[in-house]
Amino acid sequence: MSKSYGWKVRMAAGAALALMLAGCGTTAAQQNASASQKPVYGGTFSIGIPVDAGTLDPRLAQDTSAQAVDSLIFNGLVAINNSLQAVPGLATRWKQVNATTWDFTLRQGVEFSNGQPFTSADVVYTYQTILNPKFNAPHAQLYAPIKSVVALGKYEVQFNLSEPYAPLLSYLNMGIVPHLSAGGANFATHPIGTGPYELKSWQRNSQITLVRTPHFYGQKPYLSQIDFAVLPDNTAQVNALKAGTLNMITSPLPPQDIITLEKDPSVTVQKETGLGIIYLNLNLRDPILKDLKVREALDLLVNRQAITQSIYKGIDTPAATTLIPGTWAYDPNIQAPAFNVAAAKKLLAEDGWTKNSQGVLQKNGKTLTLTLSTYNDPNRVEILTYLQNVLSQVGIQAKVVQQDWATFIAGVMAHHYQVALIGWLGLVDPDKAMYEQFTTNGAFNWEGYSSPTVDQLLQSARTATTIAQRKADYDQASQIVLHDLPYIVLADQGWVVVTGKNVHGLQINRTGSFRNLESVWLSN
Amino acid sequence: MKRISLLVPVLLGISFVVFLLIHLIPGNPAATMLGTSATPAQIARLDHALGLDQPIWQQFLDYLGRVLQGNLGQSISQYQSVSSLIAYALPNTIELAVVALAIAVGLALPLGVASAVWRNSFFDFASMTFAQIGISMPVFWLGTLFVEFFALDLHLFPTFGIGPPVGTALASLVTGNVGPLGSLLAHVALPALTLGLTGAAIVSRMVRTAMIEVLGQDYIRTARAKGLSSGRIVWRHALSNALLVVVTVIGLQFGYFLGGAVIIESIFAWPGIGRLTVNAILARDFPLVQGCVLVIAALFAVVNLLVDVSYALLNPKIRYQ
Repeated sequence: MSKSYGWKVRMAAGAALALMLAGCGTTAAQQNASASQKPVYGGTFSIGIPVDAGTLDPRLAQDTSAQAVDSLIFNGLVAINNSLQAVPGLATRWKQVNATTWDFTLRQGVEFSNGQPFTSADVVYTYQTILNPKFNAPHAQLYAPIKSVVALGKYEVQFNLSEPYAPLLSYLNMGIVPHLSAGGANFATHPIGTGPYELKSWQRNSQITLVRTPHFYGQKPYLSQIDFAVLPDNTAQVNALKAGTLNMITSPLPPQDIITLEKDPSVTVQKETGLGIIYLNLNLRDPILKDLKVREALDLLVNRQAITQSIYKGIDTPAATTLIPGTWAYDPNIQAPAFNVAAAKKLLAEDGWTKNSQGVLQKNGKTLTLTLSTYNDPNRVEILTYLQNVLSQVGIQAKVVQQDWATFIAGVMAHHYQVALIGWLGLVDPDKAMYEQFTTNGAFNWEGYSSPTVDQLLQSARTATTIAQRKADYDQASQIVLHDLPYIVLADQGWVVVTGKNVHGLQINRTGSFRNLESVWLSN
Repeated sequence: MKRISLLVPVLLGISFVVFLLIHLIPGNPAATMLGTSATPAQIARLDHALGLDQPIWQQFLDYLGRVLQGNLGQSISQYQSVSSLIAYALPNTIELAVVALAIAVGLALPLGVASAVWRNSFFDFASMTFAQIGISMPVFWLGTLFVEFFALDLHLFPTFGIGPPVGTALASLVTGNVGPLGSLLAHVALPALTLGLTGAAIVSRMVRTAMIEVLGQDYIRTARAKGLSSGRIVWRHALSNALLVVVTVIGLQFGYFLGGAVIIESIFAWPGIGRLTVNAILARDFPLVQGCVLVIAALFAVVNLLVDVSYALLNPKIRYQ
C-alpha cells in the first residue's frame, strides 16, 4: 500500500516537473554549452536502429541501416553535403572533359582498414561490379549511363558515359571497395573500407560494433567505438535513450514520441527537412482514375495541413511536388490547390457524377468507389482512414487496405491497385525523384503516366550543363505533373535526431549519412 | 526409437506445407532484396539467379535435396548461410526459454498447489486473480511496464540486449570472475520475467485444476485415513499424479517460448529465432523461413517427445516400446 502511495507521489512529482520543464527548448542552449567545452577523445557511442542491415557491402546495400553503418566504414569518390552538393571524398578534384567524359583525381596516401593502399584500381573495380548485371546491385539503374570506368594512372580515373548525365556526381558517393578483398561472398558481412571506422563485430539482429581505425586518412574522430543496437520497438528505443543506454536515435520515430521527447530536458531534439516524400500514387490505367476531373477532385480533398499537423505533428511538412525544399531545384511558387470540399463536389458534378440512393456518386451506372492501399505503417494507415472519411463526405466510397510491405509493393509493381500511399527516400538529386517516376515507361512509372513534354523536359534536365537549365526543366516538369496528377504529393518527410545530454558537436545531416559523428564527442 | 523415427515424416510434412504457403503469399524475394530502386529487368534477373523462375515442385525438390545433405541454403536477405544465422539465434532463444520456463514453473507449482489445497480461500482468490491478469494482459504491455519500473525507475536491469554467451559466462565463473554471469542474468531477467509470468499464469491454473481433481480421489482419502502428513499427501501422492496433465501444458508453453516469443524479442531486442523467422517472412526470404520453421518444428517435436518420456517417469504404469 505504501509502495503504491510512493508511486503516486513520484508520478505526481514527475508530472509537475514535466509541466515545469515543458517547452524548454534546449537545442540552442545545449549547442552553446557544447561549444564552450573542450572535446575529449574516447567513449562508446550507441545508436538505435529499427532493423538490422541486410548486407554491409555498399554496392548491394539498399536499407537505411546498412547505408548509415556504411557511411562510417566507406568513402565515396565524393561526399554529399547537407545542401546536397558533391564535395571531395576519395577524389580531391574532378573536371568534365566533354559532355560524356569526367576525369577524377584521387586522394593519395589513403589506406583501407586492412592496410591495403587505395588506388584507381579500386574505383574501377567498384563500378565494374555495380554495372555487371550478374552482381545484382540494387542501385545499378542510377549508374546505367556509365559506359566504362578506366584508370588513367594510379590516382586518375575516367568515367565515360553513353550519354550526357548531369546527376552523375550526386550518385558518386557510393562506397569504394578494395579490389583485392571485395570479391568473396563474405565481404557482405566483413566489409573493408577507407572510412574512419572499421567493423569489429556483427551480432545479427542485435548489434553492429564499429571501432576507430588507425588507417583513416582524415582527422581522427573523437569516438573510439560506435555501436548500432537493433531495436525494432520504438518505445524501447525511446526508453533506452532516456536510460542512457543509447546516445542517439533517429527517424523514423513516431511523431507523438518526438513531441514528448521535445519536452524532456534529458535529451536534445534536432529536426530538419529530410530527403523523402510521401505521396498518393494514382493508377492511371484504372477506368475511374484515368479521368483527370476525378484526380483533380481527389487533390482538392487532400488536406495536407491536417495530415502534417494532426498525424505528423508538424515534423513532416505539406508538399506539392517531388522536389525537396532547401535544394537548388525547389521552387516555392509551385503549390498544390488548397483543401476545398465544395470545389471538389462542383468538379465531380460537372464531370457528370451524381449521388445514388445510397449517397454514393455514380456515372453511367458505375459507382465512384476507390481502394486506398498502403503497408502496415500506423501513420500511413491513419492518413488513409482520414482520407476515407473525407471522401465519404462527398459521396466517394473508399476502402482502406493495409498489407505487409512485400505484398503491397508487389501489388503496386504489378499495377494491381487504384490509389497507393507510398514514399521515396534519399532524393539527393531531382533526377532520382522524377526521371524513372514520370518518363513514359520509366522503371518506377507504376502509375502508367505518359507526357511527351515531361519526357522531353526530364531528358533535357539529365543532359543540361548548367544548374539553371536543370532547375528550369525540373520546375516546368513539376508544374505539368502537378496539373496531370499521376501523383498527389502529400508531405516532405522530416529528419529527426534525438541525443542524450552528454552528446556534443553533432550537426544534423539530412542525407541520413552518419558521417557527422566524426565531430561528435561524449562528456562524462 | 519408433517415436523418434516418426519425427521424419512430421518434419517433411511441415516443410512441404510451409514451402507451399510461403510461395502462395504475394511478394517476391528478389523485389524485396533489391528494393524499390530496382527495375523489373533486374528483378527478373535475380529471380533467375535464385532459381525462383523454376516450377514450384522443382524448387521444392531442390530444397529437399539440399536439406538431406545438411545444407539449409543461403539467406536471400542477409547474405549469410541459413545455418549460421540459426546457429547464432537458437542458443539465445533456448537461453531465454529455459530461464522463462524456470520462472513459470517455479511460480506456478507452489501457487497452483496452494490454491488447490486452500481452495476458495483469500490466497486462492488472490493467486487466481494474478493468473487471470497474467493471461489477459498483453505481453508487450507487461514488458513495457517492467522496463519502465525495473530499468528506467530502479536502474536494476538494462532496457534491451543480450549479455555474454552462456558458455563465456560459465567459463569465466570457473576462473572466479562472476561479472559475465551477472551481465548475462541482468540481460535475461526482464524478458524472461515477462515471458515467465504469462506462462506461470497459465500453468498455475492448470496445476490448481488438476490438483483439485486429484485431491478428491479415493486414494487420497485412504492416505489421509492411514494418517499420512498433509505435506506428504499433497507433494508425494497428489502432485505426482496431477503432474501428468501439468507436464503437457508445460511442454506446450516451452514450445511456445522456443518459437513464438517474437513480441518479447522485439521489445527487448533479443536476437532469437522468433524475430529471425518474422523478419524472414517479411522479406520473403524463402530459404531462411524454411530453415527457421524446420528448426522450430524439430524443437517442438523434441519437447513433445520429452513430455511423453516424462509420462513414463511420472507414472510407472505407462510404458513405451
